Amino acid sequence: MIQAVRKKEAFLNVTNLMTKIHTPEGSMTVLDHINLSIDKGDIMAIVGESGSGKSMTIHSILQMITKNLLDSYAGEIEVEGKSILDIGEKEMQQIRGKKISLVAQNAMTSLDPSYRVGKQIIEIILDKTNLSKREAIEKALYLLEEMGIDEAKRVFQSYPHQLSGGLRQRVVIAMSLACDPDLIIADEPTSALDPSVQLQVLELFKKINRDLGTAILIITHDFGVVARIAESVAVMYAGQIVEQGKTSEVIYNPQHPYTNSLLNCIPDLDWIFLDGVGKKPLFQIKGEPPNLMNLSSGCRFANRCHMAKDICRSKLPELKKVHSPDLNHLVRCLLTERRESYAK
Amino acid sequence: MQNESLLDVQGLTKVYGNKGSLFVPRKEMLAVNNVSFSIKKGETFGLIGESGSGKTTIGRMVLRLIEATAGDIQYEGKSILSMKKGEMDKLRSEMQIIFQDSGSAFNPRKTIGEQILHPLNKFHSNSDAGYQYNKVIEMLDVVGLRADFYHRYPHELSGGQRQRAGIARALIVKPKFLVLDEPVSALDVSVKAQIINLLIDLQKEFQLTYLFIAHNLDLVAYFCDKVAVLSKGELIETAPTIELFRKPKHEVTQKLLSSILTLDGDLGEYYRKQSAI
Ligand SMILES: Nc1ncnc2c1ncn2[C@@H]1O[C@H](COP(=O)(O)OP(=O)(O)O)[C@@H](O)[C@H]1O
Ligand SMILES: Nc1ncnc2c1ncn2[C@@H]1O[C@H](COP(=O)(O)OP(=O)(O)O)[C@@H](O)[C@H]1O
Ligand code: SF4
Ligand SMILES: [Mg+2]
Ligand SMILES: [Mg+2]
Repeated sequence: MIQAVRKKEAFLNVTNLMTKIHTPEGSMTVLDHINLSIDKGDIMAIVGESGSGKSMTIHSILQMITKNLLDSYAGEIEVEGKSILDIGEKEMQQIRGKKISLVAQNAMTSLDPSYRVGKQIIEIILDKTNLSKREAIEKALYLLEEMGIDEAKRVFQSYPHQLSGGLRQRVVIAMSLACDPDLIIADEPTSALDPSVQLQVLELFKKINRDLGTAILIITHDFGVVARIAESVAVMYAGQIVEQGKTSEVIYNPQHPYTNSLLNCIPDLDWIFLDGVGKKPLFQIKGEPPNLMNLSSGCRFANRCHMAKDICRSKLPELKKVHSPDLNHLVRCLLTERRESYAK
Repeated sequence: MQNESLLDVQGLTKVYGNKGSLFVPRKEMLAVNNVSFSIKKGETFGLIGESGSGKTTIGRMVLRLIEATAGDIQYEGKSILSMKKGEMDKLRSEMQIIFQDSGSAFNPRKTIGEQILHPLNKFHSNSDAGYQYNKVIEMLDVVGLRADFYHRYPHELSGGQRQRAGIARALIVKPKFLVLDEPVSALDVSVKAQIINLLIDLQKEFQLTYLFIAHNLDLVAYFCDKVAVLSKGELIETAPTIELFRKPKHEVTQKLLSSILTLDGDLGEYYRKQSAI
């Protein structure tokens, strides 16, 4: 039977987001013209090295950057077509509580050690819904069971330290579902986990997406994670998006040298599994990302790029469409730009 | 020589917990149970297993940072568990450890240079200041940090740079054997590769032997000559890397390796086929 094509409903739209923060050396632009759009039910990933601005992006979307740190936001952020950059804190709390929830980086270490897990989940449910205490308990147990926890009652009664890392991460994800959000943003939810637990947690996000239709925005520095879960991906470098598009396009047809380098960092295991294939040297990206306070006028990746030409040091590439089956495949690289213009 | 063993571990066992008393019930935890393996000179020996399986405990017992409950550890043919303090102290400079986050082992108020110097003072206290300074600069260079890192503080370094500084500090006393306890687990994928390549270069340059503990199994495959798998404190399987990854014998190993993520998905399918044969 042919299923009706579900028309995607836009949920989150970020347009030309610029975020500046205060530093002892002055104002620093940590995000430069970020564009993202997430439809209901999407699974998207943001991938990039530490310091590239992944957390800043989601903290800007949720307007969680503290007053002391924040210099300014510019651009546009819309949730269900409504601009949220200039709404008040009260309304913003409604968005954070009811529409978008965050599984923060290192959230599993932020569970309160002195309260039982169940109490902590119930508190969140009571805070974010109109349920009675009795209903909240039921919902908490239901959520834990949904997380694939066999002994939901035992976990409910436990203190955080009595649970393994994997179980704690499930508890934190259960909490993020307390308000039936349209979108869960998860900041490096599996970086600290064992590989088998990482896989279980990724499967869990897929299940939540499938069963509840919740959109997922997952932040990671590992393309293996992106490949396993996300339909689309944005690659960040030094506060900018350098490539974005469908995951399969970006992985199998990468256009930006940085994307290529990140993909190459995943060790190739062919030499182990295939006879006659030699072991290749482990690829590494040399050097470090640039200091955002001290940027040149050229491409931000230029000092590490093996394709760099003279022009790359003076001209900043723009994010542009490339010739690709994926109409939304965008790349920020002067060489790709030139190749594209010849192809036309 | 490649074939000489540097470290022989026999029946190593660790029980954590109190001995109990009239009022406090005896509560014990068997963290490592009767583990035996040996590491050859110049080899990289991998230790993998889920968290809590006992990897760190083994790494620390081998260096006598914690005492073994039972078993024997021989380093170059000499039993180290029965060594007197003086003899053990001498050996300490030959055996060093690198942790997941060297940063947390650094004193936030001392410069990187001072901290790299610290073990040198501990083991070779009579060298003069000029020699010491040059030695630190040399070590910084060895791990790929510029000389001006001498005067920086830990918080001014990125995770990868701190890990390099940690390696410099371990190497300054010219060790032969290093326990690497999850040295890249907290780092970005791209920085992981930098540190592994550095460790490989250093191994060649200084004839080092490594015990590599990690949960990044694709890097273990790349880096190690031999791999041992721990499960609940017991060694369930030890094999040369290719053999272990191609045909894991134990179900637990299969499950562990199945979760390796590649760009084409996880390796579950491969191991399901393997076990069907
Ligand atoms: N609290 C802070 N104070 C000063 N700079 C910060 C702070 N948080 C983040 N930054 C800077 O903002 C940039 C982006 O950081 P972040 O979004 O946390 O990166 P990521 O999550 O990709 O690792 C980095 O250059 C970082 O140094
Ligand atoms: N100091 C300690 N006291 C009591 N139990 C410990 C101690 N250190 C580790 N354990 C326990 O021993 C087991 C093995 O721990 P560990 O060696 O750290 O494992 P791994 O490094 O493989 O994660 C775990 O169950 C852990 O909780
Ligand atoms: S613009 Fe130049 S330096 Fe930048 S990524 Fe492209 S080729 Fe490399
Ligand atoms: Mg972050
Ligand atoms: Mg450990």
